[in-house]
Amino acid sequence: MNLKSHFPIFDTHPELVYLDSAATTQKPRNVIKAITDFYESSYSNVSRGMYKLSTDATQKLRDCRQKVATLIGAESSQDIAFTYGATDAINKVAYGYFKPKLTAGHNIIVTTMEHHANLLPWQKLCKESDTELRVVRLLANGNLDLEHLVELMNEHTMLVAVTHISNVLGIVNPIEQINKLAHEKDIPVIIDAAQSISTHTLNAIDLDIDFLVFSGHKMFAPTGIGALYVNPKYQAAFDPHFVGGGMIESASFFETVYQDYPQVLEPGTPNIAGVFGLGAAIDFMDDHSIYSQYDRLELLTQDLRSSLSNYDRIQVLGDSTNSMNIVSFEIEGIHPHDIAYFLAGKNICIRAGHHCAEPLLNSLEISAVARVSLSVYNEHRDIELLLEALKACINYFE
Amino acid sequence: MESDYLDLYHPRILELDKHPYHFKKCVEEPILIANNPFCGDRFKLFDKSPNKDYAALFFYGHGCAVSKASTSLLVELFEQKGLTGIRELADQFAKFIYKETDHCAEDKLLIFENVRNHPSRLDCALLGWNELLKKLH
Repeated sequence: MNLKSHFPIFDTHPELVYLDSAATTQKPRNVIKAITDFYESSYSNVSRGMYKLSTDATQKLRDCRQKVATLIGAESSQDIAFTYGATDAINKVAYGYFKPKLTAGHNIIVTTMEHHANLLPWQKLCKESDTELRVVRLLANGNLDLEHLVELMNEHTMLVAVTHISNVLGIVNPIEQINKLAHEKDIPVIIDAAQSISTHTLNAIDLDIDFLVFSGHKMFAPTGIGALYVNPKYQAAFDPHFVGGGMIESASFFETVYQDYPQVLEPGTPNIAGVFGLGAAIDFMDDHSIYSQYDRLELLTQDLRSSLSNYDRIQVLGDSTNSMNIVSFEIEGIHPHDIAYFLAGKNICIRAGHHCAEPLLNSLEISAVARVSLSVYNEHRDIELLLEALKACINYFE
Repeated sequence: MESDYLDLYHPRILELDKHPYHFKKCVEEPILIANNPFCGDRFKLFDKSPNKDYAALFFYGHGCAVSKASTSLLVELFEQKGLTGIRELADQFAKFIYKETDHCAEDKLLIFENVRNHPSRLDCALLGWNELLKKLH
């Protein structure tokens, strides 16, 4: 089932072939409506107003927190903190939870395929804390070398930070196995689910997740909103990095007692419209059984990968047997930017560059790649148009 | 729409992309590294002249057709004009690309005239030139 008709961008641009959903997804009608309805007919601040507009908004924000909890199988809505996105969430965990605990001699493990969002906060924190940053290498097919992960973990490891799906390779990491390996040594794991939240069912309890982050805008919600899940066993230990209104039990000029998690991580007025948009995006995903699209998207991805592999001059990155909705490739002799620009002239939107994963590309000895990423509004015709355009692109730059 | 996008690529740009001037990996320390952190384009400039007077410049690296052609011309014109001349030209070329002037002081650079209508590609045309200006200022 193709859900294109639910996305008004395709009414405005009927010829649009949007293949850049790993950067951000298009927005369904109900999400846009939730945001405009709020501003047009029910706008107010939350939490502190006694009037109906405010109490309604407060209740709706609570409902959205519950929707996020249900989406990822968390036990309670109070396990969920709203953030500005995955980057914000990871920084909150880095500086709110780990910074006070790190000392010289500790180490933190990341993987070669991390987005800068799940690398730079740990790199910076390690430098500030005289802590070692360790990097799990990849196997020749692009998958994580789990034996290397096991070698890197020791009694001084404070965290393993790993993406669920690589935003460049499309490789799906075995997070259940990684959690198990780390937990055997009492090491917590943070999972960056930015790319997987719209394609994979996640269950925080079944997967024994410690920390999980995602951005709303990659799952049909607006920009500027995301969520952080923290396992209850870690919630009490947060020392907030940002402080301000709306997060205190009591405050005097010289002392403050903060509220418990999640409020301790949510100072200031929240992005209320963003939260409502996120709630509407989850409704959209539920109403249309988005996760049941997994098989269709996987078939489209495999079809694209094999079609690209038929071209002598095209090299496709990653593991053809383990990838989801993201296909990155190079064309010999044509820079990815020129590929993307040529395709833009044919109404086809892809992305080119290092995709905020420069160390990964350096490790593959590549400076930039072209990336195609799929979502629920894509259909086989999009792939056909892309392939036709790539043929023309190769001829043009010949 | 397609032709709007493709008018970026003057035939000479495509030619220089395939056959850039003095494009060679060198062992010397680069005199300039031009890097675009948003796209990963990166070129190094080397001075292989015996007197280090920019008389024999080479470049190497990765970039799109526009940035490669532009850096190729930068190398060629740098050799011809020397430090003072290239500084003046770099200043003027930046103004031309940013549409602060319609005058292009060097005919060879007129191949980038249409780039001025493609806001997302201005940095490609100026990659090496802006880095040079930063260094010289």
